[in-house]
Amino acid sequence: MDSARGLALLLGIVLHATMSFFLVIPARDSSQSVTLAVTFYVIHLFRMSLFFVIAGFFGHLVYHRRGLRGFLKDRFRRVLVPLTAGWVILAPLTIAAVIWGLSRTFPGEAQAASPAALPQHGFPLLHLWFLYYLCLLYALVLILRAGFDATIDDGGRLRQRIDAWVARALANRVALLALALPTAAVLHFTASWPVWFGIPTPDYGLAPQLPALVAYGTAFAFGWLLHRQTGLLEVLARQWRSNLALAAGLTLACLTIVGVTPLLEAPTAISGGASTRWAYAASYALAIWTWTFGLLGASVRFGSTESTVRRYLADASYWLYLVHPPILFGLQVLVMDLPLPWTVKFPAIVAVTLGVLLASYHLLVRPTFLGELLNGRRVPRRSAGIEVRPARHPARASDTADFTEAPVAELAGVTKRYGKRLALDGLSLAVRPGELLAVLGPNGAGKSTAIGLWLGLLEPDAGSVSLLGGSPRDVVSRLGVGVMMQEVALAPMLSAREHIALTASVYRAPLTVGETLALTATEALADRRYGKLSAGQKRQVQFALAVCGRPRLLFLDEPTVGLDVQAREAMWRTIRHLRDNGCAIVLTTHYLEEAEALADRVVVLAQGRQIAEGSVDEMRALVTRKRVRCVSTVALDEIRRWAGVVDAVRKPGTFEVVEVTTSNAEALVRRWLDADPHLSRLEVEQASLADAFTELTQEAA
Amino acid sequence: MKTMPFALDREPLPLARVLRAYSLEAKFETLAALRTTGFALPFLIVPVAIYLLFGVVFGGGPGAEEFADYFFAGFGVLAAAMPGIFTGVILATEREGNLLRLKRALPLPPGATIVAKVVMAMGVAAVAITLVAGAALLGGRIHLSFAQVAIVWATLIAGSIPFCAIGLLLGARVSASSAPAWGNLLFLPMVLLSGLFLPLPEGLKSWVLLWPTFHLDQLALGLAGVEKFTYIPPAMAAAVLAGVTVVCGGLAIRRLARVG
Repeated sequence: MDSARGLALLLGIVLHATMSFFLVIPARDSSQSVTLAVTFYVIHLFRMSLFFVIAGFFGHLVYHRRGLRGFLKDRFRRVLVPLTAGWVILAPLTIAAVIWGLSRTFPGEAQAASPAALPQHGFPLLHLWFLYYLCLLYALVLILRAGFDATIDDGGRLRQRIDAWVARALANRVALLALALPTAAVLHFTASWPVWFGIPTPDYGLAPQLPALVAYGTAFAFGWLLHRQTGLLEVLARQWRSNLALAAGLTLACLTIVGVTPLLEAPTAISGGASTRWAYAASYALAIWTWTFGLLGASVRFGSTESTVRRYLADASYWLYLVHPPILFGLQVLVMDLPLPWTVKFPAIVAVTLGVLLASYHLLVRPTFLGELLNGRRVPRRSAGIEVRPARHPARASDTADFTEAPVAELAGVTKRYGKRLALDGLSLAVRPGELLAVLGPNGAGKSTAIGLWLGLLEPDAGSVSLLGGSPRDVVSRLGVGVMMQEVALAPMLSAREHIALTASVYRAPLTVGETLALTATEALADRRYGKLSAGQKRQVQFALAVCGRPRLLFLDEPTVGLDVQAREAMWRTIRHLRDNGCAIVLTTHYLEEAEALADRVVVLAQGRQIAEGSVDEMRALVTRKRVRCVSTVALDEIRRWAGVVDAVRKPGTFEVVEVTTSNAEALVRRWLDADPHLSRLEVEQASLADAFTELTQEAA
Repeated sequence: MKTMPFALDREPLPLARVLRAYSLEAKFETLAALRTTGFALPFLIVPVAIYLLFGVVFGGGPGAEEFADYFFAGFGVLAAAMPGIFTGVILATEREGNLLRLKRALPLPPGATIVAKVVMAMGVAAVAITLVAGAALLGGRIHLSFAQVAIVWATLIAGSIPFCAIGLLLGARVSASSAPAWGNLLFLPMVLLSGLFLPLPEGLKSWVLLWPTFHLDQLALGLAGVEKFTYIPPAMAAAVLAGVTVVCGGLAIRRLARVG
């Protein structure tokens, strides 16, 4: 998906590079080209829709991985900051380049020409409009989601129905029609629709424009839903060929209707009557979606193999796209009057722009705070591009389907006793590929036993344990595993560097010592004797040992105990980075905030059993729930409507006791007393799971 | 079909890489031991120092001259036995520090930890024995030929293995804090009561058969053909040492597989 996003952004640069060869913005080149006009037409047709599908997909991912606050924080840094900061810096430069181009294209009448050439008015968002619309869509989706949660879909049944429907529609391709319909309709009914240019680009004005909002909103929503069932990507991967063939056919049909170059004098005109306009709008919208599906499918089909170059480009693409206009437009204006054919100028413009931008990315962005801001991580220059992806043999693409399904480690009905004490009681627990699973629980809950079983240190009394497709007792199974245990004393007389070299030697394709040090920010400790390090520094070295083998599955047992705040943040960053690169991680921790910051999924153990499982948000919701009981005359239906009430039931018995489960007991009681001043026998009780958590949090404190 | 996706990963490391892992483990084990002054220094220096004192400096007396060859072998055995037995201290520390547990969880080739310990102990012993042999050749008034010294030298180096096995068993069972005490408790009687360089009272003479140090001494002298000091057949000595290695080593490995 990352590579598809990179593709959409890089194609944008190519798209803008074609403009001077058939348009007047940013300049009118002496060499005009129909080929580049068609290139523009095709890329422009699908690229933003493709981008918004992916944006929706990753939006859902971030939301569910980090929770609402994490989502807002992340999007603020990676979308809103680039939008505002980027605009302040880039807008003057871009506009200057465009005006320079126009003044050269229409010498002597620049003042008169610019309003004509720039028919839209309002705030010039320029190419950054897509970030603005992303913000609008994020806001929209969060509002819709909240409303959806609160009113329509309490039990999640509707959600399941929608998921099933999406899956069915994708398989039988009704989805194409359903997704194309809103776009086709909004285009057809927009009187000012510049037909050749498809969805009107909302790069001027802050008021949301309907066609863009509908078309890209559909794409975003689809991406959001798609991430609910990532298995559906496989459906797209299977259909990639037919979808792209359909897309090519539809594009050809569209071009036949509107011509290969735009009619700049009358952009809304279309030959033929209303029926042609309908046919064109429908074909255009369908073409958008067949391209999007086809390219997504192809990127899943071919993009899952590892490639350092592609990874690098995908990382670089955001920066490249953000800052390209001034350079690109400047170059276009610069070469516009050169007596050279477009076949020379166009590739040269693209190559120079990309060259300059990639150099700036490598030197100014990747190793600095800019890289952290744009891509969520900073890659130290010395080790630029450390490949931390789990080491494995180059997988055939067809393997990826299974790869996403099968758990990387599994306990199935495992029971383990130490003498009389029952440490695990029929526990079943699976770690899925690429997820960060936090295992919480009070001391003696069975966390360490579970990990010991997974590492082959213990044998179960009953049930089965699997690790990367085999038995954990088998050395081969453990080749893909990295471990950080509690309270391990490494040989004090060896340096961190030597420890890493030693541990790395047992893995198949480990990182080099230098890469490991850079990845874990332990360069400063490299040559010091382990025995001379502080407790926190020792933990950092142990963490380096855990990751040096490029594990597919990482076990971290209380990794940040004894670390100072900075070192902990750094370790968290590395952990996230590993997870984002496909490493599954099992984390046990006493710090609830650590689970909150990192976990995709939380499992709570107590007395050897799993007592709760879900996302961090779901866990939090469970903890804050309380049960309130009293004798009251207020109708159940009314109580159920009150804010924070999860459920209300009437208990059978002599007194008509009403029991209410709520997330806010204080508000409920206040409200209840207002509604029924005569209520009696009031009791407030923690839900049972909260007890386990209280115990946990007290221990952590 | 759940195991499918990992099928491609389920290939063991190539042999060359396994050997490399073993050799690195041994290299760093040795390096760490040499950097631990409390471990390496006494074991390298003590045997040769005592030998220089008793075998060379005070070795000129008429009685001493007669026993020069026996002294040489005896101090050689001391050099061979010490590192092996006291490897148990390192092992106990690592066991208590959960390091062995961590290593069992890593895809470390099985046995690498133990092999590394044995190689390290043999290496330290080899240096210590070489020092003693060098001192003997230079000033020990020994009657042995160079070839006989070489045989004794080689036998003693190989003979450090049973003492490693004893050390491993010790390290697998006792706590880190008590391991040095246990090591001395085993080592001192083993050296003093096996009659390697001190005359024993009559009552204790037949008990020397109890100690593996005596058997190693006999094996080295027997193989070198020093008939004057050969009291038991080398084959018997070898059998006892092999037995010690198998029993102690086996018990240690079995225990480490569970508690390590």
